[in-house]
Amino acid sequence: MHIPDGFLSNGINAATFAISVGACTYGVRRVNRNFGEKEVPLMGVTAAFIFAAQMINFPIAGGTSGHFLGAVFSSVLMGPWASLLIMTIVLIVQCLGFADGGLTALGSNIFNMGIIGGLGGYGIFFILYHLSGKSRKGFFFALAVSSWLSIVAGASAAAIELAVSGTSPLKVALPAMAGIHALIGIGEAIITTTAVSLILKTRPDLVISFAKKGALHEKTA
Amino acid sequence: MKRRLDGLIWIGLGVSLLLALFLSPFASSSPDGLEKVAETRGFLEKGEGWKFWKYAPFAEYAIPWIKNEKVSTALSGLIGTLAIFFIAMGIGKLIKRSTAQKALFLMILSFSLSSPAFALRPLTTDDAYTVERGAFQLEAGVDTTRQDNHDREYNPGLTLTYGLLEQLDLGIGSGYLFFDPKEGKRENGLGDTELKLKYRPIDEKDWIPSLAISGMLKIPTASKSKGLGSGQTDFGINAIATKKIAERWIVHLNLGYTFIGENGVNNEMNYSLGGQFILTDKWALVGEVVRINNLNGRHGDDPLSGLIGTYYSIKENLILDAGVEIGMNKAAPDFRITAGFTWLFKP
Repeated sequence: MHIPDGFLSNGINAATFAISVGACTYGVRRVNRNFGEKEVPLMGVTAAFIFAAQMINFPIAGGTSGHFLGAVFSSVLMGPWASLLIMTIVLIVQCLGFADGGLTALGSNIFNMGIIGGLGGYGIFFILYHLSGKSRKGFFFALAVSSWLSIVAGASAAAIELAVSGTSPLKVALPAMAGIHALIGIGEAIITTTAVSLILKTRPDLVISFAKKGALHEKTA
Repeated sequence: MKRRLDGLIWIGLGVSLLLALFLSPFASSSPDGLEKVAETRGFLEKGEGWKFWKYAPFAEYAIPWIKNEKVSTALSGLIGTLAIFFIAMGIGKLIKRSTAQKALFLMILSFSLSSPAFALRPLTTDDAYTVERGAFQLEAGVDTTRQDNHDREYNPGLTLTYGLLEQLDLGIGSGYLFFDPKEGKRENGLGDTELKLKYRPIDEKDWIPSLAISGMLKIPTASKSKGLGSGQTDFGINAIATKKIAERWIVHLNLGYTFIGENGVNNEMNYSLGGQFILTDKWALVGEVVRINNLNGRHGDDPLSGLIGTYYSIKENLILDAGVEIGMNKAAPDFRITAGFTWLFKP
């Protein structure tokens, strides 16, 4: 759902750019407080994985393809603010290095995928996980639902931006975008839960949103 | 229990590289969700012919000079994955560090001189040439200056210039300033940062010189309270002419105007004439005369100075240089000694 140049109005681009810059600035300050030695290479490897995985488009129905986003994946691993920064780095490199996503739409892409998908998706995950009583099952349930929702919500945000920009009316764009991305979101949920469960099996201490639970928390100090 | 992290990092990076290398070439090439909607709902053409950023080296996940599509995708993915790994780690490191270390890191990253940077070292006169498209030019140098009142300044700096287009380059430069006044407290800190965009619309042909125009933005990164900078943003434009006038002679003429942001300080005009005398294919002598007019009507306040220097190219893309600038009136520094190098590279 990388929006190219030309789809969005200047007003939308400017507004989402301002919000994204603000959120990233706050994100840097938040991450600065609890970043240690181990988080630095983890941030590198998480971003590298997300970039590589985003290249792999899988086919879905009707001659359409989708790819992994990784916003909920990274926020569950490293926290929502680090995730926002990781998504932002990936989006900037994709835009400047690979012409994937427009330069004028960069703010909107960060907003849709990093803020709505990442921060919003993590919020849903957090609520569901806590409602489920922090069980292992609840963790994976919350993970699957929130990663699916991160795609649908991000795509819906894109649809709203397209509508406000006058590119496509909301009643056309919203169902179309949400519909297709409801399918792509299933792929997101499968990849996210699989990848997180693999990491949990080998290094549960690295999944900060899971490791916080007392019994499973391995003290690294 | 502190478990080592290295193993997991290497495994994670390895998996990512393998994904990029072996799976990405076989990814579905069908339009993605947004493209499909744009196509069926008839707004795909809105994005066509509207590329704002045309300089992506690996546009559409391909390396332009590799014809085999699969190899091209795989290698561009490999490069991107590695690049992201290092960029994200670098940014992570920057975030983790304390403010003082951050400043130090930024300084190492983008040093320069607070005196007019971006020149053909050791000259402060600019040349009309721009850095080749896609190439970088790194200029590094150390200046030692003694002002007329015997205040001393030591100033290591770095400038990085990138060739955006064949005739357009963009540079960023900053430096670190050690200020050692004759009376009063010693200070040191980050100098101001300069951004410069240079455009050369006309190339030298027959009697016409190469002509370029540059815009400079001085961002006040130097501390005002320490007296290292004005704390205000300045903006300058500079017209540059470069002409080869004989077999061994190249001359550069600059005419510039700077809007000074600081209250109560006049804007400045500057004019300078610089020359290069080519001795051998590796070695040259350079000289210049620089005049700054601060437009207050008193010419005694206008610094006038001359510089003589030399450069020697030890490799095709690496040039060492040194120069001495002598002040010719009281407004100019007594002297300034500068030494440094220019390194051209293309990633």
